[in-house]
Amino acid sequence: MTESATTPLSDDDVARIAASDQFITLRRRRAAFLIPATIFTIVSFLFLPCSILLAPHAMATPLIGPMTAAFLFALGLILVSWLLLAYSVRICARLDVETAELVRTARKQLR
Amino acid sequence: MSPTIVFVLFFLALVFVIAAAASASTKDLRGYFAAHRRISGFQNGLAIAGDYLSAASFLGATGLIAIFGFDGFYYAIGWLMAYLCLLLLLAEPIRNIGHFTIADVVGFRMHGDAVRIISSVSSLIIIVLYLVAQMVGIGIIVRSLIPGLQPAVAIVSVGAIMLALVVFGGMLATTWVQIVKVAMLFLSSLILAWLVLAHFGFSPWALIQAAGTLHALPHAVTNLFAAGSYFHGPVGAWDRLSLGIGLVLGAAGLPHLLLRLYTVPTGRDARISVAWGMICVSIFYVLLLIIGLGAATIVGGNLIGAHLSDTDAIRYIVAHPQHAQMLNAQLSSLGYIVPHRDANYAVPILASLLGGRLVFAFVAATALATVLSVTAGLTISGASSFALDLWHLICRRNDCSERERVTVGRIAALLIGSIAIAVAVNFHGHNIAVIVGLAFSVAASANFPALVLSLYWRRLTRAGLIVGMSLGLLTCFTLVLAGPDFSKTPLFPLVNPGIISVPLAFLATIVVSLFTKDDETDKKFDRLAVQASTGIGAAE
Repeated sequence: MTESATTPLSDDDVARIAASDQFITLRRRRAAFLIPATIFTIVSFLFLPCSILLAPHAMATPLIGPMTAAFLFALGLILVSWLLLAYSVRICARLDVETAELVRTARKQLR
Repeated sequence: MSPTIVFVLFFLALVFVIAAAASASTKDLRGYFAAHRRISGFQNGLAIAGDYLSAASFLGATGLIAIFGFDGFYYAIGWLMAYLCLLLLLAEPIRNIGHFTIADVVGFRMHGDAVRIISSVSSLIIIVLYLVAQMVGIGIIVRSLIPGLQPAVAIVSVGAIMLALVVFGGMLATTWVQIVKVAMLFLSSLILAWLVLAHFGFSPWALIQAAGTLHALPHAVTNLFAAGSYFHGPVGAWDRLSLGIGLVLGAAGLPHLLLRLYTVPTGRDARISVAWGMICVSIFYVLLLIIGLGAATIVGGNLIGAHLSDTDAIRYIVAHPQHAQMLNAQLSSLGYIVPHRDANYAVPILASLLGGRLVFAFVAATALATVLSVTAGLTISGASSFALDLWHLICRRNDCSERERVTVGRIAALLIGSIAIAVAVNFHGHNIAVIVGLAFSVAASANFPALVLSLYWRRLTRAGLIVGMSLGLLTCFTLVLAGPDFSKTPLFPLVNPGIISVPLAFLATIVVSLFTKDDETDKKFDRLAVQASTGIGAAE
């Protein structure tokens, strides 16, 4: 690609940043949030078809008026997605601050 | 002039103005394929929502809710949850790593061109599948706008307008058309949801109660809120699960959504745009549920489909004497017949019934704007895969000027659009949401494992990636072709292949990677991790 890019890093620079405590901590914090949150998203959604597969009658039982357990669970997933979105925005804002600090440090060292 | 024609002409005029205004800034690679990376996070969020809220959502899923209740709503929930995977796992790293296409990301650590070529081919397949679904939508919309017009004529004419937008306006014009379309879509959905609630005295509970008393549901399901009317029996339950896997993982592998991430300045903006997109999409799906239940109760699931009246109806009844009694009864009581149930008609019929000519006109223009803008987004995404990966790598062996790549991109847009138009002409009648479900399965099987493992697994090797992507793609297609949609005696009982193809793709990639060694891939992982996490070195 002929695209321009910000500050191309040499292999040594990359190795230095990758080995720094600041970067390792950032990666660990990021993973500690992103991986469980993604697994939770996938599992909570797939719980719906799995439960219909394994317990069709229970999931077809009307719980509130004509609304079945399956339908209420699906509605609940909308709420879950909003909560998770709000939480991820909060966490990522915190991680952005740490990332900006890391980039500042890295740029200083590169100079 | 009818209000329908006025709205449509106004929208088309707006499309041409946007394309003309954008055409000046589409001369270079970054301008044509990435709108100079100057779109803000919020604007891109609206455009992502625009790309996502296709005819499959507006027409297909609403109609599926109207006819099949819970099973239709399941599609919407799957699409919504998929957004979270995209937001959490991929949005930021993809923007920080790539330049224009998915192949940039999966090929970042890989030597040789094979990985990029397979990635491009799978992207093109997904795009053509998705495009066909949208083109089918165009046929339906234009047929309801101008009764008597053949679907083929409708598909070809609207397809031609879309091609003009993409070829001359590039990504910038496509983005702004998406933003205008999202505004129209929200207004239409709000008006329809308002009219449905007004019909029930603004009591959602009354709507729910009315929907709960509906009988004559498909496959003897007794409650619209229960599963089983679309995916019925034990096989249907497995199919629902298989579709769910495709839906929740597929969005994160859709090339036209991922291409949007390159139009913003930074990885953070990419993440913000996905968050805004998700807010729009989730609100829209709540409105969609209200509209779908409204169509079920007010129109009636059995009357959703193309209406035939006068001589057309009589001609149809004469040709189908086995249904003559039922159809004659329909004709005498309603003044028209509905020969086939077709979920895609739910929204236009409901709009006409509740809002009269003006609301119908606006909703129809919105639907047209929806399919036109989404097809534009898909076409430019396909053009980028072809021009920047296949042409640049295979035909020109990495020796191709920016100018040539833009020209090839424009020609590729014309070719891809034309292929989709030709396929769609012979494909009308299938439910849009179902075809899109298949596109999601391919994206989940071929692209998603490759992207996730490329970004997060150091041990990944080139051989593992090639085997995993190829197997995901091949399995997906083999199972679809051996399935009930394409075979009278299906060897594979499910319509959706995700339950087999996605785990198989992951497993194959991991196993082959563990049994092979690739020092270069391993060495480049640190660079990838630093760039993906910090944005240092990301494309400007």
